[in-house]
Amino acid sequence: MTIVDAGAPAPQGTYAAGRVVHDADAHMVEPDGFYEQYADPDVRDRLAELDNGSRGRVLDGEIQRLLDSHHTDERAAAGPLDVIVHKNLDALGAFDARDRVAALDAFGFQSQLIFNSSFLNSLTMLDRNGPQDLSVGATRAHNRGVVDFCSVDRRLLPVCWVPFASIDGAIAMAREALDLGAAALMIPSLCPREHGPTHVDFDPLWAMAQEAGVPIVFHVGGGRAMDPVYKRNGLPDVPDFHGGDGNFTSVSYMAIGESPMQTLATMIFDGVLDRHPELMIGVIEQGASWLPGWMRAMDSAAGAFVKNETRLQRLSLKPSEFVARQVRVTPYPHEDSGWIIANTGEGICMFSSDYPHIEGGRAPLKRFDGALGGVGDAAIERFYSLNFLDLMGGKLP
Amino acid sequence: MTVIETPAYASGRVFLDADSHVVETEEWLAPYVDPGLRDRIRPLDFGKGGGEASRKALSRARQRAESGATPFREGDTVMSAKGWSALGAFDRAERTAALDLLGFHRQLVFSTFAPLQFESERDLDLLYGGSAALTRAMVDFCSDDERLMPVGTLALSDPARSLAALQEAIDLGCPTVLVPSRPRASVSPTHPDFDPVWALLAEANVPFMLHIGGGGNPIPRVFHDNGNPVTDWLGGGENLRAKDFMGVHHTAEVFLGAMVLDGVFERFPALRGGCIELGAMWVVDWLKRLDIAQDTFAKSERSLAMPLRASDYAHRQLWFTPFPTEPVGWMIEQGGADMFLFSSDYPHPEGGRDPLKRFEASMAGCSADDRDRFYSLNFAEMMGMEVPAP
Repeated sequence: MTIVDAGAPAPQGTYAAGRVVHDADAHMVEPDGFYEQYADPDVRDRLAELDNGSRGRVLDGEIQRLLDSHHTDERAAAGPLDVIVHKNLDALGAFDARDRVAALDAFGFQSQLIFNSSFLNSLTMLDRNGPQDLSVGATRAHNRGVVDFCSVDRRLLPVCWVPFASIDGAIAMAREALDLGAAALMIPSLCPREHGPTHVDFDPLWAMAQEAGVPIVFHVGGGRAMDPVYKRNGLPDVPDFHGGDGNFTSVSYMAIGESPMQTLATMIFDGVLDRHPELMIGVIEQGASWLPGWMRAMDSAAGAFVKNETRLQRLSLKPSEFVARQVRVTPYPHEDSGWIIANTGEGICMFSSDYPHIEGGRAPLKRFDGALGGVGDAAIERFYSLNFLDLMGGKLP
Repeated sequence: MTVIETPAYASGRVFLDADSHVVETEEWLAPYVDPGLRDRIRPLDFGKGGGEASRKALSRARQRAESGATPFREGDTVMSAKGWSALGAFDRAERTAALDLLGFHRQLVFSTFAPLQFESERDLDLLYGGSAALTRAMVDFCSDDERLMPVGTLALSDPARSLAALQEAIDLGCPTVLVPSRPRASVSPTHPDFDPVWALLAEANVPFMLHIGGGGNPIPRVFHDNGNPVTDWLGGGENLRAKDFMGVHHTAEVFLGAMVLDGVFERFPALRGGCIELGAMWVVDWLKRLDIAQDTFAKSERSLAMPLRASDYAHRQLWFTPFPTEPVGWMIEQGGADMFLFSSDYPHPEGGRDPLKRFEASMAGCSADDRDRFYSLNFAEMMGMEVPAP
């Protein structure tokens, strides 16, 4: 794959001053009711009743209050570092697209994939459990919303959702999302109920994404949650990472890579990446410590099962070589990225800020720099920019 | 029975085998089931082909016992015959002969099919009754040879019943018990209600085991609906396939992670566990992720402020069996030499015909001490025993 110039170093005075940085994970943080304005009339009222729906409330005043809080004199005077310390709805550009451009200017990042924040769980569960008409309607509202959010600046790259419950429906929705301007297609890592995600009838979808040079991405929230019984441990309830009662705790963190590992291994074994050699896959906000063992486990599986599984006999590369060629992954800033790179190669791991989510922390560049202490300059350049460009088909936004 | 004398398959050091199996025939469990449950427990149904194969194997074994004929066809070795056809698959006298030929000094013996007769039961009488029967059967199978170490079965659906069942297994002399890796009770296995079970295991010097099969299907079956069916190890389509292999450890990984992070190993420092036939490639990064979890969530989860690093509990109290196709040398280099165990999986086909050759191929850079640990010392530590004399 030809890599184009990754862009000019960020100007002085920005967070990334002097560096070329592409950000593989960032979010818009939707206020309640955000998607209803993009919904078709037949599903609008039903979206209002989902987790982040307005439930009939008029939210204009609340949203204006939030916006005003982003524009105090004190915050304006604080400079770029101030931008990254505010999180979620309190962050500059969390939901206002013009403010997001200002935030991106402050960061100095060359581009930023934009995921949703509060809707992925609803989209995943609707895909899994239906009703399918609401799943399709919610998907359309989501995709219009994120594309609209990103439309103000070419550096903002919208990630559209494609539900997988219906094969024909997925192919049609992928087409629709690409026509809408999707920069990446996000699919569930949770296995559909009625068919595998690698069913041969999905091939037109992979071919479409490959031809468009648009990657397929998996994001945390699109997979199987940990068995909730593990939370009933007789100990006091622990607040989750966000301080609430969600399910992002130390124990659930241990299971976070399961779904993408399984679905992606299935895609490799079933030949999806072999049949579509320029299809790129991103695994986002699900850590990367699992990569060294997983890649070796796939090669081990291929060796162990090749005698009886013709699909393995047909593969033109070792499974780990497909990963090196076509899969890109974002480590968490607290993971040992240097060790991961030393045990997987320089071409897979990518930087991500997770802005404006709390998990991204207040100093992602500093933390990643620390984790990359023993890594050479070429690998660092790949980490901060070139591997992302690989994922995006070699295209600068 | 006449067994052609050949050098033992394994020689030159002490080999302690952390995984082997009985391959049960249809009526194997029945004599051990309490009379009150005998009519209620599910029969073992191998289907038409499997039932016939198991009956033929049983018939051949009986003829061998009467005639003293060799079990091997020309060209066979003890490691080449698999399943019901293997020497000692279900007959304990033959198993002793098999162990002579294998050259292993100890061997943990798990079941193969019998758990299917009760493990999915919601009726706790059947679940615990079936488990107790299997424990008795395994102890009996191993009772004539000190090298055979039976693995009892312990359900974790009801803490009080589990405690009683564990005491019974210990009284029978079980050196270890198998527990499910998927939660079956209404509370986590790390809930204080289960503490008496972990306490008794620690006190009795009896480690728990997790094993493939104890977590249900490795991956949702629908992953296999890909429009492109494949055969499995045995030529059918229902057993372990490459995609299953990738998810085979998931439930064990979460189970053990919860045990570490919820402080069970801190509360019971003498508790030990083995993770068997679930591969071990994942262990290397799992150790790193345990520490990351402890560091990252310590602010919101005060219970993570334990005296040791999370990974140190795993190093202190857990052991794992790599598959022979995995790069054991890399795993030892990255994860340490103190956690990985040799296993043969005898007489299952997955163990292959020459697991020692495959393990050795990936351990070229390992030291003599690493090998001692892999083949015997780690097993002895896990089981709380001395390494037997060569």
